[in-house]
Amino acid sequence: MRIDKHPVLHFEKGRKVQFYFDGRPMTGHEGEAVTAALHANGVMVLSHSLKRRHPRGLFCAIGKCASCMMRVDGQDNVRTCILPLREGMRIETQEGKGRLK
Amino acid sequence: MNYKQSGVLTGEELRLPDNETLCRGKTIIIECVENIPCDPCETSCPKGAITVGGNICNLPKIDYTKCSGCGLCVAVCPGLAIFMAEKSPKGDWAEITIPYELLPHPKNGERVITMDRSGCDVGTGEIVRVTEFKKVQKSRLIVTVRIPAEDLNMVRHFRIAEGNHEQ
Amino acid sequence: MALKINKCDILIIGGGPAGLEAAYHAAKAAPGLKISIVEENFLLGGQLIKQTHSFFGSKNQFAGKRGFEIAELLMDRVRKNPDIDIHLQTSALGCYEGGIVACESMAEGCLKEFQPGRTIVAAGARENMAPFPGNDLPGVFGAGAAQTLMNVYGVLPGRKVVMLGAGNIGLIVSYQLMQAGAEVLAIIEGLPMIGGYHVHAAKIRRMGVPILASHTVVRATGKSTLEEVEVAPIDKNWKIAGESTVFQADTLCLAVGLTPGTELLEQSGCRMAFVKELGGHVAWHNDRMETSRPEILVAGDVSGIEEASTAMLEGKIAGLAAAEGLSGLDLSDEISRAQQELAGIRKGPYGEKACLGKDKLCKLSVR
Ligand SMILES: Cc1cc2nc3c(=O)[nH]c(=O)nc-3n(C[C@H](O)[C@H](O)[C@H](O)COP(=O)(O)OP(=O)(O)OC[C@H]3O[C@@H](n4cnc5c(N)ncnc54)[C@H](O)[C@@H]3O)c2cc1C
Ligand code: SF4
Ligand code: SF4
Repeated sequence: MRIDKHPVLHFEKGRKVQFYFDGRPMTGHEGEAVTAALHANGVMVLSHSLKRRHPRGLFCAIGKCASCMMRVDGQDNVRTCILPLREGMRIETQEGKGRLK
Repeated sequence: MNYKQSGVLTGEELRLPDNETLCRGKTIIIECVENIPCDPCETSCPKGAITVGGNICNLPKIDYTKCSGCGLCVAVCPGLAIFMAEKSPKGDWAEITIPYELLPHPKNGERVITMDRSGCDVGTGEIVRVTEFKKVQKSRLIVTVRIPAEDLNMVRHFRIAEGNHEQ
Repeated sequence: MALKINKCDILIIGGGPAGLEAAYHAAKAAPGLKISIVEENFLLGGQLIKQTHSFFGSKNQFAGKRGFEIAELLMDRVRKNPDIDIHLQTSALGCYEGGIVACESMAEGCLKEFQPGRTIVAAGARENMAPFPGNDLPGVFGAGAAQTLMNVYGVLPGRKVVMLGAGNIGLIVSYQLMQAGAEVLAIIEGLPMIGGYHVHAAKIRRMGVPILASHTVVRATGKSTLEEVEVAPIDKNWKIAGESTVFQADTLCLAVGLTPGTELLEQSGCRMAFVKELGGHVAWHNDRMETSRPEILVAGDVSGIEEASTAMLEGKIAGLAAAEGLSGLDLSDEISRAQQELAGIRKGPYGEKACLGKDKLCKLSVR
């Protein structure tokens, strides 16, 4: 859910761009955190715990926990909460620990 | 329950101004009872009516004889802890001025539901003044609500009844 | 991965209020020193950019201004200074022998190596977890994360929120959630008392949000995201002491404290100490923010959890101390003025904890 009116803040958003989440096209604003764009599109589950496969979502939003690690344009283990969104980005939920490239 | 358990001040901590003071005109009420490190109420008052003193953690004190009722301190206080009250000498109405940072913005003449320090409805009131001190604090409205005199010590917030407000 | 060598006199790790102030004051006091800031995020300003409430303090600490406005001011004066260069999306990975600091630049896809005369670690803190089943469900956020989503990006974390923790962060974030259009169903506090400032509690109470002291979250449940939060009263020993209430909520925010992010300090061999009052393990430091390793200084939440105004002053002190050491200038007057200002804002009952913690630290020996 995007906040359209706020009593204190005025949000300066980048231009609208398309990106892909697990192949699905979505729109977000250039330069916002990838997790913010995902959240605005209703995507809450970003990864799964390794052993029990519990769904995991955004927790710290400042790059200090591992719950938002995803595959971005083919690269695994990217902390998407401190990654700015760019046009055409391919974001995928990552299975397991990921590979080193 | 004390205010540290409930988040709500009661008569004891408050030391509200007496009736005579309230009837004399605009009366500042400072609901800041802890020694927090803060002093903009003191430094921004153009009349020097509020004193915190050398130690920034002292409690602010108001001198009613110096205060002009300009309302600047209501806008400045970062704790939203300063209010302004006034009572008609005959006791047929009262006004409470409240700092307000929510949407939608209230408008003059609008009827609102008044609330007390714990968020319970008290009754109704009418918005009589909406001002802003843009230079000292952006996006904080200073809203005066006219209410029944007997509600004066209770009302500290209000809400705009649903459906009452056209955007 | 390619390697770039960077030259600088002072390296600052972390671009929050502490790091920004360290850079600004070091550059101002000793013009000509070359200063670099590395910041992991793509935004500068640390936790300050998401604070929309007005700050306390006095004029020197920008009292009355909203946090994000203060952040703009601090960023602006750092950006304007040609002696300071800023490396965004750059994580410090380790401090090695000879003062070498290795960083990964995510923006440029390379490693950057710095060999500064002084390093100021101002890496901030991270939010604590609370132990209950379901605490890993999507929809359970650190309160600061919810604040980042709504105040930095304009995205509401959810519509119906339960907040765990009635310290300043829990109270402030609850108020900000209401401002952004969410509904806060309740603030839950394990202790019998509200920990944050009364003025913050009063603001949210008069909007009708209940604060349940001596309560805790028993569990969070939901299929793939949060749906329900079970809350129960507890006694002094944190044992369940009554019937629970279930809130239908899509968001649960945890505001149960912060832990200093000291990995780099520990790794670099600084002497560490556990000081409860400062939030856990911190690097030993003196009142000039110098650690046991002469070329490493600390400032802000990483040196003990406090707040932005103290972080700024600690940053200033660290920046000045580092500049003094490298330039040979005598900056002791300026340093002691900043120390006095810092002591001033720690004077009230809410500053007691930090004072106690910093005192404990000073009493320990360096080795
Ligand atoms: C939710 C919340 C509400 C708060 N409310 C208030 C308030 O009302 N009033 C108040 O005074 N204070 C408040 N604070 C506290 C205040 O924001 C912090 O005390 C202050 O921001 C600390 O400043 P800092 O510079 O030490 O750390 P931070 O602001 O956390 O900045 C640290 C920076 O370092 C970066 N970093 C970390 N590790 C690395 C690395 N390895 N390499 C490169 N960069 C790194 C981080 O990305 C971050 O930008 C609040 C804090 C939170 C979380
Ligand atoms: S109303 Fe004006 S004169 Fe009176 S205390 Fe406040 S700022 Fe000072
Ligand atoms: S400005 Fe407000 S919060 Fe600060 S000391 Fe004055 S009354 Fe208290």
